[in-house]
Amino acid sequence: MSTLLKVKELTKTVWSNGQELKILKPCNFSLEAGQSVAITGRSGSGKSTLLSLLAGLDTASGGEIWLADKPIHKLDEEARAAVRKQHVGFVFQSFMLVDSLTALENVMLPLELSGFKDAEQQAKSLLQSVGLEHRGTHFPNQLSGGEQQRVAVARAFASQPDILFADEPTGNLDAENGQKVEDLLFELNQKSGTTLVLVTHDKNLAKRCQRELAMQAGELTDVS
Amino acid sequence: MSADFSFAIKLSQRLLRHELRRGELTIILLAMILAVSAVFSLSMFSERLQAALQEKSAEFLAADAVVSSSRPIENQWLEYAQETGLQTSEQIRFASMIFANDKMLLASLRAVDSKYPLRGEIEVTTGPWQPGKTTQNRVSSGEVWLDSELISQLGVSPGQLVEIGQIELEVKQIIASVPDADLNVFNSGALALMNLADVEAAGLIRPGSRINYLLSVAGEQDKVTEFQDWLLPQLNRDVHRWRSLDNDESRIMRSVKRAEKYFLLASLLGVILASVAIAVAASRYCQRHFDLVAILKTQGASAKQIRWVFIIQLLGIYLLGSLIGLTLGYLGQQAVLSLFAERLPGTLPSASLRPYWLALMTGSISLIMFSAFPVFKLFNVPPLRVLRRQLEGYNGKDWINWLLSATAVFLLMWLYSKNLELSLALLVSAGGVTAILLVLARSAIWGSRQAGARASSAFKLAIAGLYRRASANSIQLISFTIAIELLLVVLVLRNDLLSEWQSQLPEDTPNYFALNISEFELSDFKSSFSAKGIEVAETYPVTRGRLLKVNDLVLRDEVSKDKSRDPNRDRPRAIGRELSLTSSAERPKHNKIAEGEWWRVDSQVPQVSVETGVAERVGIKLGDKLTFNAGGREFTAEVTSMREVKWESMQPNFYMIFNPLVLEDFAATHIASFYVPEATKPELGALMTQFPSVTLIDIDALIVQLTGIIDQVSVAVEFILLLVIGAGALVLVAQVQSSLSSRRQELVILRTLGANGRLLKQSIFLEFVILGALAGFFAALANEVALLILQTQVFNMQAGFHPQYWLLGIITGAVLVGCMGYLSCRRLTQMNTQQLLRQSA
Repeated sequence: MSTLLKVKELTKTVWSNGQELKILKPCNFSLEAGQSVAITGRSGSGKSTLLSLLAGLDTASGGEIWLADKPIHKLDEEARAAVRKQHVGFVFQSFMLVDSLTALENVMLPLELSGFKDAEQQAKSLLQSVGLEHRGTHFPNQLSGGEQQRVAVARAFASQPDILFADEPTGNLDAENGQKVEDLLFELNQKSGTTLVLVTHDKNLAKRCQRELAMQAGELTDVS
Repeated sequence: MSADFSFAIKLSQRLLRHELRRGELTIILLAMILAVSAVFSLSMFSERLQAALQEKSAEFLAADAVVSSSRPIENQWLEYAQETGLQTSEQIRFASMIFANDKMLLASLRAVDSKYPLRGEIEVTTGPWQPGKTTQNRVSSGEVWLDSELISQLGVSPGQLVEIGQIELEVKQIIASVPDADLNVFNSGALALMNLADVEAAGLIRPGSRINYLLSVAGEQDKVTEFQDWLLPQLNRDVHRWRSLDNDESRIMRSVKRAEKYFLLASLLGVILASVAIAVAASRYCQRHFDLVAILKTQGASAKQIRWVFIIQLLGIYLLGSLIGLTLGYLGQQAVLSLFAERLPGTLPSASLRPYWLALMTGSISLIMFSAFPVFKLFNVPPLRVLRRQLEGYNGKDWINWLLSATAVFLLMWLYSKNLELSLALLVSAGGVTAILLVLARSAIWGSRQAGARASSAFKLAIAGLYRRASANSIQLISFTIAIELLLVVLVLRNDLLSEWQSQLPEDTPNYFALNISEFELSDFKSSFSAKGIEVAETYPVTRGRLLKVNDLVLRDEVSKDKSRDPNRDRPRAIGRELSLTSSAERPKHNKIAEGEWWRVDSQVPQVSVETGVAERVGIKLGDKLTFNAGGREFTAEVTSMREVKWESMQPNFYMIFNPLVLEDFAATHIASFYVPEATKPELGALMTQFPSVTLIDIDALIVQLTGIIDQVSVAVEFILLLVIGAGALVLVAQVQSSLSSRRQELVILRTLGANGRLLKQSIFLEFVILGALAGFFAALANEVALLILQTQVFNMQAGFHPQYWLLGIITGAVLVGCMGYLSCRRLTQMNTQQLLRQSA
């Protein structure tokens, strides 16, 4: 296995009311390709901050992030977007589907961004793989929460990313739908060899991952 | 095509299609359609109507411009006008006796060329006092056209000869009306038209004759302006008079000019309202797409791709809005034209390309300038928003947004009015009013919180909502206030203008004047007319006289072209002709005292009341002693009052009115004005044969011309009001829509906490009612200030307080905003908690 993500002395500090707050204390770790990793911790412990830094959605205060051999910490917004397009997929707690696009068009979005010619065909088969082929023409507000999250999963896997970041992917779902989405994520992870990074405070979900990194007050510990 | 562009086209097409179908672009598209259609229809309609009005107004001059002179017209003027490409027509006016059948009559003669009239039509009739018909014939050499008065008094008919000076001319036509009839009844004696070529042979022009030479021109506006610019520096104010549609201060042009100002102002307000709707809608459009940008960035879309997506989409909205706007605008103004076809001129001139580009420019300026800042914020939405939903784009420096919006408003006003000063003045005052309103709005919202502390729960909740969104509500309150205020301004001005115009010419406005009724036949005259159902209510004694002195200063009568060598140049200028002097114990109803006081009935002191215009021209002040000569006798009276006279009232009006004792020893004839219904007109001929010395003047044609113009202007005013109301309503809807998402969040919380649907509905309704009532109150306040300035500075009308609109403002605000707010939020209040939660997520 090759190293897909490498983090060195990564920190995040913000200023609030004139005071310096260390949201993320220096942390170091690396992830192998195809691994599934859970980042756990209480609310406000810094899990989502870490995820946003790893995915290049935010900039770090210090340290290095290497994703697919690219120095994320040195890249500007445009270059980070290019890395995301090529290597990263996302699933969010609040689904983050585009309201004005149908389920099928939402899945087509990353495919078209990457210039795939047969975006529609691929999107249809992805919808089929999440069991929503009959819901392709529906808009997000016409779908249940579980269905919306499955569309989001299909979209996340559409561009065949090397790594998929999922922020509390089952947080807004009931147990049954949560289970379905979980199964789907792991199934696709295994099928496509995509590295899965899950941010969750769900112990059961964390247990299904090969590794668990625990966050506490901005400090990261490998508890696997 | 690059991959970036191709992706952007696909995505924006898809978004546009879905968002249009789902009604998410309704407000911005409606705002765009309304702005384009309002500007297009307004500018096209007003351009066509103004051209028609100008054409019609030009008929009052029978040309586009006229230079008149007491000396013959210089040849080079005529040549220059013709070289400029203008049509020209020459005319000589003078008074002369006409002889026929052993009778003679003093006529107002006009010697015209074959091109007269350059504008308007001559109407002729088959018998005296019969309805007229337009004729294309022109007065040829050897013939004379006489009006009904001359025909009936001289007892001649077409084909017979009359003697004018040393020649005989054949009566060819009976004149019913000429377009440039004299509005002053005392000047308009019986009218005769002859050809210019016969004047010399008639030998009527001798040294000392009182003659008026006219050169009339007509043609394209820029050519008339070119001629005017060349000619005016050469004119001597004492000898020449220049009249054009621009400088014509006649009663009709004052109405038309006032209407033009109203057009301009109301249209500007309509344009501003429509652009405010675009601003609000554009801001909401951008806010609604924050998530999309964050998602696209997360998915790895480049800044260029994102820019293209929205540029293409906004371009799509612009094109679609413009296309629909232009179509609706065109259909709208056509519909108005056909709806009011009877009240409009038969054929309106077609419009230029200006309305098209003006409408398209308004759409693009509004969309670009008002959406620039929100779009800039949109492009800067960080991808991190997918995790932290509260993150927006670029924050701070809101003054850039204000600056861009102010620039847009200024550009629109300038573009539309072509008047830099007016645009700057409106912008600065709008800025000032907005700042004051912002302070008032904040204070009112704060004050309402104190008031709401002891209120019912729905009211408390409404007040709490107002206070919670104080910042957004202040902006909304200003928007509502401005929208309602502009509506009130346009409405009040429309009502004031219309009532002023209508009061000038009420339905029973006299359409005939009778002059030279002698004292002994006055009662017979009245009773004969009364027997035919014509009431001769008001008569005035008239004595012809000349003003000689103001205090001890003799008025200069002769004028010198070279003023520096005129020894009399410091003396007051004479009026230049005999005046019709009258006396009256009572002040005429349609005259208003501007200075001084009207005399007591039993006053034994000789007094005179002077019309303000002539007083200014001659330099007469209150307390001056005026000396007159009438019938060779001089008399003096003190000026004890100045009167404002409504010349457009079509009533007998006088420059000088004396108290009765002054003129009681002077011989006088009487003047009467009365209304003759259409059906009775044919009997006038027979009636008048009983009073051969009485001159009858028909001003019906003139009244028809005047009422026609007033009617057309009224239609335009009403059309503009409709559009402004439409624009105002859209601003209200756009503003309410923009607050929906924050309201949804609140409803979720309140619902979750157990608030019942009825309470929520009531509180939402009350919140909007309070906002609307406050906005209506501020609007009424701002309306009074705006009207005071507009009526006194722009429209030269009398300013007044408008208490009836205060209540109207408050009620309209409360009802309109309350209902629209409630209806817009109705869908939210009908959702259950789960649906609300899902939408909020």
